[in-house]
Amino acid sequence: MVNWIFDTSYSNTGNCNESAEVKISCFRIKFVLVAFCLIFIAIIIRLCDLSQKDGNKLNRSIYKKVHTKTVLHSRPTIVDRNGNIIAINLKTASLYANPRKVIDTEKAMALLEKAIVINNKDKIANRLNSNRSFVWIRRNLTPKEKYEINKLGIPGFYFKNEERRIYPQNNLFSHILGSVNLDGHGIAGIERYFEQDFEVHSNDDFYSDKRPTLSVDIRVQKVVRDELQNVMQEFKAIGASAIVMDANSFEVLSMVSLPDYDLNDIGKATSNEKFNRSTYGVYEMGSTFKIFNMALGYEFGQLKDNDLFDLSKPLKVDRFTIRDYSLKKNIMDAREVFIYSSNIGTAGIALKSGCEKQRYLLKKLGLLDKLELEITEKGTPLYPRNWGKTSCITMSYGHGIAVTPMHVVTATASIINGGILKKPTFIKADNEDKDNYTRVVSEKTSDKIRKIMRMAVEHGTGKKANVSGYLVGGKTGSADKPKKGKYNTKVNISSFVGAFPMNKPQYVVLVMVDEPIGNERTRGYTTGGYVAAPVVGKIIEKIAPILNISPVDENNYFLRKEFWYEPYEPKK
Amino acid sequence: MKNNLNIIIASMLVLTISGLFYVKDQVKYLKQDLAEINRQIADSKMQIHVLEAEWQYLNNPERIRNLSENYLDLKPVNVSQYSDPENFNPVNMAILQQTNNTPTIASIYPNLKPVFISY
Repeated sequence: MVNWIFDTSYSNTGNCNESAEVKISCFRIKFVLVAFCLIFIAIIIRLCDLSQKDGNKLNRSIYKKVHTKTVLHSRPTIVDRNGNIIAINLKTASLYANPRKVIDTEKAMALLEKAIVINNKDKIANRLNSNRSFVWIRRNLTPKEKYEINKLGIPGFYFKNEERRIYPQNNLFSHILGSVNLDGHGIAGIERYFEQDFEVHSNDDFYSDKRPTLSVDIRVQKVVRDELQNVMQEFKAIGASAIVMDANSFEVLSMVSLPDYDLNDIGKATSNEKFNRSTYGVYEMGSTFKIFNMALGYEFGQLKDNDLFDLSKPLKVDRFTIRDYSLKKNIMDAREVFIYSSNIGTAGIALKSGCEKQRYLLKKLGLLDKLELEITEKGTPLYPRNWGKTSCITMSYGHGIAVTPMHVVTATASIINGGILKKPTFIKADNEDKDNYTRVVSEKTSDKIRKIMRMAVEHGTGKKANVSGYLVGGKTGSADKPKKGKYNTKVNISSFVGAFPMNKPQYVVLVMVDEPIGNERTRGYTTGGYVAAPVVGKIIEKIAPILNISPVDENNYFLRKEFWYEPYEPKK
Repeated sequence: MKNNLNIIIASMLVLTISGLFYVKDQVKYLKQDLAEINRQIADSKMQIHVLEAEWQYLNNPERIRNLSENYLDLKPVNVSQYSDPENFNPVNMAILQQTNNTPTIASIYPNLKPVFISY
């Protein structure tokens, strides 16, 4: 070895142990050789290792460096509970020009006019003649328009890729989705609710298929909106609201507030159209509150089904006189007070149960607090600061307290589903959150309320909401609107809150019509039974098959037994 | 012996170096392929996205309703036309056939007396 490297040899014999210098040189050479060998062995081992490694385990950061230029969209697609798209971002091209490079302005404008519509032609023509470097011509062109303009080949005009939020369903989800502003940030409704989530997730998951899924059902929403539109037109009302909610999971299946607006054209919407009558507007809901009053009676007032109430004389409380209209008989039992919607009887039940308990129950049902809901447009209930005996009585039949329709639906659902209250939600619920609830009434009370609600539809004021086979139950409401300290008896809010099927309630439906005007069909009446109840019936008829609820034989022995009702007859 | 060792080591060296360059080239080609495929994936995803929007637009309930009214000879279904699968098990079918219409209490449960009806 030494011979080979040193030809002008220090050593004569080629032996490493010849002298000290040779020894040192020898050692150095050997050291370096060994070191290089080790290095090469290490490289060989590493190569073998790398060549056998599984490709998928390579560092994720490699993928990201290659793909940062291929981000799809900055805002995820929102879908309904069945995967139908209700809000989506699409790439559009926006046309701009560099006036310094535009040769003939008039010719360019003339050519462009053939392809697309240009607003503010004069302004743009002036800007094109100026010495700027950037002028917007028109934003958010369709692919076809982009193709046409490209075909023209005019110098000085360029495209910039932008995104635009498109709502394929136009009017159908106006108040739920809210809207986005020009920069694509959500400013109202669910779009605003998801704004934070979108910022966090949009960079990590742009290859995942996770889409924010709402609890609404596009088919149910369509049915509800159509029926509500019909009733609003028929009675020439100023507004209407409808909500369909799952009674057990408190998911909102449908929420419509009319008049509404096209989400794609939000600039043209008036503030009346943007006003959310379902969750933001507060109204005195009237007799629908009798549901809560009966719950109060059964739960805290030791009310029995056969307690009797004398309705022959109007009830005088301070300076108020409470009357009943068109009642069939003067003495009714507790159930009939509800079924035939007697105000005097209702006041009697409230007094029997006590005003503190009433306040306690209404608070527990969430009727005194602002809603907890994902959208920002939430109304705060109005009720008098001094909750005296008068307020107690008027609140029992729904006057003197103003809440949103969403409050009423949520509270009703919590009473009839066995007594459990959860937060209403627009997001599709996964079944993991079962323990987050409060109990508002006992199961026994819930059963009784279920039964009297069914009786109210079968025999009482809610007959027009009945759909054979679906065991519809509910309560009508006709509330005169307040006007300067009194009540305007000529305009009212006509409502009906119903649920089906009443042997095991699945869904709650509420319809509210604001200031209906009576017509021939209703003989001039605008009560809840004539205006709102039929709408609920039509809605239930159409949505029950969609929601997989099959009709039952209402003459079935067990069902008849469960909902058996005998009118009270005084013994002779 | 020493020459052989030299030759072996030298050839290992050459092999290692050439192997390294070979692997490096392979990686480069693979990376290019990967980038190209990913670009195609992104392109396809974009197209799918636009098509999904198109499909949803065509599935607008109002549009479907208009089409079905104009071209289909069908009417909305009545409640009485729906039934529960339970009704089609042999026992219930036999009962329904016997009575020809909605069975009354007496026909289904002949042994039960309707005790809750009492005046």
